[in-house]
Amino acid sequence: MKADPISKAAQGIGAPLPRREDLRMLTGQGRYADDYNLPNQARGYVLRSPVAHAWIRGIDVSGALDVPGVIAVLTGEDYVADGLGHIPCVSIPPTITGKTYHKTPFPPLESERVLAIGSGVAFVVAETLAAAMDAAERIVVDYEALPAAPTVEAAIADGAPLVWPEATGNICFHHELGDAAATDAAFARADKIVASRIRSQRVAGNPLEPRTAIGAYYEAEQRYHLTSSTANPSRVRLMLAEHILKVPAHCVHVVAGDVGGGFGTKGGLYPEEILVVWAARRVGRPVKWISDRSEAFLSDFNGRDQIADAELALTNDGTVLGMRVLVNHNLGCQLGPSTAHPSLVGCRMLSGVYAFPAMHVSINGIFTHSRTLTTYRGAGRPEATLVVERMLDIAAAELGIDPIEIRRRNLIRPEQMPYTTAINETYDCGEFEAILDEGLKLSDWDGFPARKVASEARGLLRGRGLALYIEVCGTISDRMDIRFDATGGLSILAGTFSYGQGHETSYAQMVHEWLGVPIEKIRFVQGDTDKLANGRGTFGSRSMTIGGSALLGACNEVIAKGRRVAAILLGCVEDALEFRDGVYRETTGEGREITLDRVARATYAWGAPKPLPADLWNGLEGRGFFTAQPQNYPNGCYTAEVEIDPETGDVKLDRIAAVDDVGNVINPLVLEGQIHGGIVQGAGQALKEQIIHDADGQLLTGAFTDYAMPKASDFCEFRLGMRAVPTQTNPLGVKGGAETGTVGMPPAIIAAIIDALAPYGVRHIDMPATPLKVWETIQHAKRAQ
Amino acid sequence: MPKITITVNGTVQTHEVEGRTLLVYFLREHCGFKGPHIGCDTSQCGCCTVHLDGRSIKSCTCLAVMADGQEVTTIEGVGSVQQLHPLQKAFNEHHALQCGYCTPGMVMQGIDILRRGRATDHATIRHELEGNLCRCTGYQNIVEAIASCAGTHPDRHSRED
Repeated sequence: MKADPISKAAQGIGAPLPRREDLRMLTGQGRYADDYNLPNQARGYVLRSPVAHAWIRGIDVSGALDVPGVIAVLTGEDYVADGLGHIPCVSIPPTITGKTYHKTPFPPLESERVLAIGSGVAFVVAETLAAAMDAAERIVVDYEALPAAPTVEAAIADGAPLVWPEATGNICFHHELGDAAATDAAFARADKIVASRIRSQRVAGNPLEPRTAIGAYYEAEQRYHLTSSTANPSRVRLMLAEHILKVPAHCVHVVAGDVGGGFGTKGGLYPEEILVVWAARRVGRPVKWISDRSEAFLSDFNGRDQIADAELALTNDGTVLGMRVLVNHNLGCQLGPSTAHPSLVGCRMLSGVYAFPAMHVSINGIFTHSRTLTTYRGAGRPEATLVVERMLDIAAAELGIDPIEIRRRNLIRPEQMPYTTAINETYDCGEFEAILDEGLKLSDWDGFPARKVASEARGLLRGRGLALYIEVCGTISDRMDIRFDATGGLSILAGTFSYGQGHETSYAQMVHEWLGVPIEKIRFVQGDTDKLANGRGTFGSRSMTIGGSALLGACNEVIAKGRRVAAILLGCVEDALEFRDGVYRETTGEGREITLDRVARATYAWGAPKPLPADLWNGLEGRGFFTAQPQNYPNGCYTAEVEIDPETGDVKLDRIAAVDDVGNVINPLVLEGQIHGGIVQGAGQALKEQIIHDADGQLLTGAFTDYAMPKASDFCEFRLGMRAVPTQTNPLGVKGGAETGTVGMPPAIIAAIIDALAPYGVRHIDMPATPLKVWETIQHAKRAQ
Repeated sequence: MPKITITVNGTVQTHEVEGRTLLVYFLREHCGFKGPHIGCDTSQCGCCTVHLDGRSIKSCTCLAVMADGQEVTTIEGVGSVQQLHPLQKAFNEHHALQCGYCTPGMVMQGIDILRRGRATDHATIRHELEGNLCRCTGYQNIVEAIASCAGTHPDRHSRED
């Protein structure tokens, strides 16, 4: 949608206000990490393992030290000698697993054994990047290669090479949800049982800004500084201080400026963020490290990567009696901060929007000789939704029931809300059948037969698919501060962290709505740990829910504090004042009024402003906190229509329609952008993207030449619809809105492809449905017929 | 080291560079124009797109010495905060950027598409964006922003219809 012309009335909550952050980004004035340099800065380069699994029998750095311009060559042994700590995993709370799991050492450089292709073995610091790279070539590492198990299939096979010898069967943790006995009973009385293996392949987040880190150490202050492309500076600071450097957090200063995308994969502490601050202290100079894209493929943590073996027990009319799922989730070789999050959140959502009376879910976290797993836009919810929606389609096909009809039979009804699933997730609200109907309408579902005839006339196959999704958003707590200055300007100090999500605009709209402060007098501060008391960052579509609700709290505190000032300045009692549109007004008597702007300025006035007591002389500010307990459950209906050329296997997306319930909307322009982006990432997973290792663990998709990114020409126009069912679980009635597309889109596209291939008897295809895979599927099915 | 002179955004820039210096590094490191971004190492992403003598190129595919004596325009040279280029304005109005990292390249490529009269319909614009990746926006709003500057009003599906 195009934005409405800006008017004052069009700037508050619900207005499609064009973004304020755009101006700098559109004129080349964005400030990304690589745009920063520090005086006397050296450059760092990581030498990475060329093999997936090997003993390190020796590292000879002497040749590297001879290269002109080399300042230092650091190895894992140096790191151990300096007594620094390991990257922590904070995503396996004992309250969830209820038992032990296998913890992994995770230093930034390996000294004994490499566990995945691209693991760091040395860090070269030199005057220039070229010198550092030249020197790295002269480091001799004696690898004794070992067999590798880079995939889940390889890692759970009998006799598989172990990533960690103590982790038998390569299992890091095991977790169960639901009631096994009740599920067995449901299966025992089923008319029909369907089973399938559903894979969500490993993908790369690929934010277009490669990771970048600049470290410095200020000896006189005993302070570390890090400028990073991280999507979560507060978290990085805490982990560096607490787990790595073992210093008080105030001794670590982390700054992130503009960050060029993250999608979950930039949200934790990375080895290179440790290396630059450690090296900076070691060599006494700032050190800058920049990843190029090939290095990103080797070193960025990846997303998805699970195999689910699912079974549905049904009656002949398509009513689901029970569901059983065994998930094996590839965690990679070492546990990073968020590695277990996708498994443990995703499994909570395996009931989808359906009232499955009995469920039993088992999850194994599996170590493999591959890069560490982390959260990637959706983080477990896309995997879960794919399982539920595929299984219903497979069941519908086997029972001869329409895929829409089987969904209607099993949907949770609005009158059942709040509804607790058989795996103990309580949805507070949602109107799933209504959203299904809107999805069908928006997609012109009924017009499909005519379009299919038209496609067939051109020798093309046509198919349609639909998926209903539900996800869970709003993790833990956050803090937002607002602060007036002496001239009536207002700063928002955000604990969340926007890296493309438009918070600079959305939060300003909220403050404008609640306090009546003009948008242009609002400034946005984030991403600098010296300026913020605390923050938890932006991930899992949490910021409007948690940051927004905390911001409301901060505004309410300002209104309350200001009311006292206003009453004194007006000479009335506080109860006589109402606050609206930036003005305190007497509701009785003379109806006198004073603006919040004047109130705020009065609190800063020099000299003693006579009417105000001394405790009101020091400015006007508010703090807000919010914890999402419970979380919220965005949901929606995604549809896809594809045309397939049976001669080439090429899949063309011809119609995409998405109806979302993300509750109330702060800025529809920004929200639509989030949904568009999610759709494309979801479609990328369905059709193109995949991280592939060979049997030895070599990376076969190490550049944009080999890893297929979604392009503009891959897509049709998207039709979007909103159907808000505001939640009562936060004061704004908002639900998460940034991951809907990655969750809802893949199963709809896969269903459409299978529908198109139905003439060949095809019932299943794994993602990504590349032209080759589709073509091979057609050929295989033809031979089988 | 060769000394080269390139007119960047209307200002003559003369610097000594190594022969292997790519144009994008010349612009970023020698001239201080941080608008051209580096998103890959295989010339796929287009974040570094600039204009060389009026035509868009990926400044990572060109040695700085190859541009000696020529004119380069970066995102910093197409419009100012006070006076945005119509396409910069359209990107803002259509929400055609999120993280902003691909944006300089997208705008420079978009201007090139407009100049060559290739913003005729959405399918052609999408084809013309083949060399520019965006991971955030889903492309639709970028396509619409470019189309809006061509004065075209192709049928579009959206919530309103």
